[in-house]
Amino acid sequence: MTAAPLNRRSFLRASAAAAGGLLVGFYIPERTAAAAGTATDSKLNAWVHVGSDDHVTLFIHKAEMGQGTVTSLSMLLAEELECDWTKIRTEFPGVSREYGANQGVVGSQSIRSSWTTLRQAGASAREMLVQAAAQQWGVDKSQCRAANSVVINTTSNARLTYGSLADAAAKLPVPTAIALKDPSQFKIIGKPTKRLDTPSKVDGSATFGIDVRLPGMLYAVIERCPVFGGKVIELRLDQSQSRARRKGRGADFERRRRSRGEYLGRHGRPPQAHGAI
Amino acid sequence: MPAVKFTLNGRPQSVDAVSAMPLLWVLRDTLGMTGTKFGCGMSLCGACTVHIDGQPVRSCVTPISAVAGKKITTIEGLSPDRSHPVQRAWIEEDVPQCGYCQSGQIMTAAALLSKTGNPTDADIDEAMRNNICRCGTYEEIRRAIHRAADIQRAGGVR
Repeated sequence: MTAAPLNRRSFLRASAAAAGGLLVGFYIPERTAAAAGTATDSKLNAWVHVGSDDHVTLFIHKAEMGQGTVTSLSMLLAEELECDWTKIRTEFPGVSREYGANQGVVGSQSIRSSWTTLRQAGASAREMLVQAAAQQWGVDKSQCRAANSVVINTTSNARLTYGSLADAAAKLPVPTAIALKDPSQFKIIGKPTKRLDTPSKVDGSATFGIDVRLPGMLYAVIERCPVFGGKVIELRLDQSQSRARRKGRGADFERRRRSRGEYLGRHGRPPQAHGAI
Repeated sequence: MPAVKFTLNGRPQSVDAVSAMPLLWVLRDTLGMTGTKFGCGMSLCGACTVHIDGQPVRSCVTPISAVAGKKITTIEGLSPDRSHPVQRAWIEEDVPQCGYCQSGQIMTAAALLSKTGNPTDADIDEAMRNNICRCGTYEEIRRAIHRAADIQRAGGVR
């Protein structure tokens, strides 16, 4: 077991969530741990919520692009939190500069930059839940252990679920030194684990960029010149804009078809319209 | 713009749209059902596959006028709870990576299994060859279709 002292760069703060339960906020550095020395202030950019319904939600500013990022980040959290894997879910909090300049997921950066922090967040939440259980039983927390979203009193074998402890845990201070597992004790990290995003990708409910709808949103399509070396000779921007405004949302197809500039290819004649849209 | 009437996922549906408007955009933009994906718009990739009267069809090149009176099933209507054998198999085999093409893959696979209960690898390759996956999940798809056939034979839903 290694005790990782908290510092300003691995900052955690706990509070009661508006909807009840335990909310632990923390800061995941933009760069890998080694390069994080230049990180400035400790803004919170990720949160873990333990709900009174036993569900654990990881709010994390990393997009799921198909690499399994939200699953692997959740594995880091769950390993130390000792929570039931089937009760974990993730939510994407949106896009904001608050989360840092890079919300992308490339080059295993998400794992590298979150490796210590997410485990610390999970361990902190677990310790608070264990402490809350110990207080309820009037025993020392060394007599308690956490497993599968339950705190167990090792003397009496009494059990309390995370959900039933979450509100009490939210009132406790965040532990100042957290013992993290030795890798030899890992039960989730490094083991084949079902992806959390698969169910939403087999019933059409997963939200992709193209599925986002915003009020008053218009569509843009890159119109590529079909002839190598062609140049734009005219762009009927005014015309297409006025059409776009006049046409309603249901007429996107017509709008897309009409709002294209005219090109002239090398051969001096306009190319034929191509494609259905 | 006359109203076009058809059955969508088991319910009567009426849509006001220009007759040439592709079914894909009626589903996505007019009806807000975004599970069916736009990939190429030219019937080349299969991401937009839906069932029309049980047949897998590319909705991106299907004008809305062509579906009047027909029964359309989209990924949202395949089952109410991901219980279709293909959906169950897809989850068990963890098929999707990015997932963008998977609605189309699943609809094509479901159509195959409705006709061919025990497809061979060759049957699968033939049925699925025009559904393109940029992540390259073809091996997982093939395994999942075999598994879905097993689930279907064992009396899985539908």
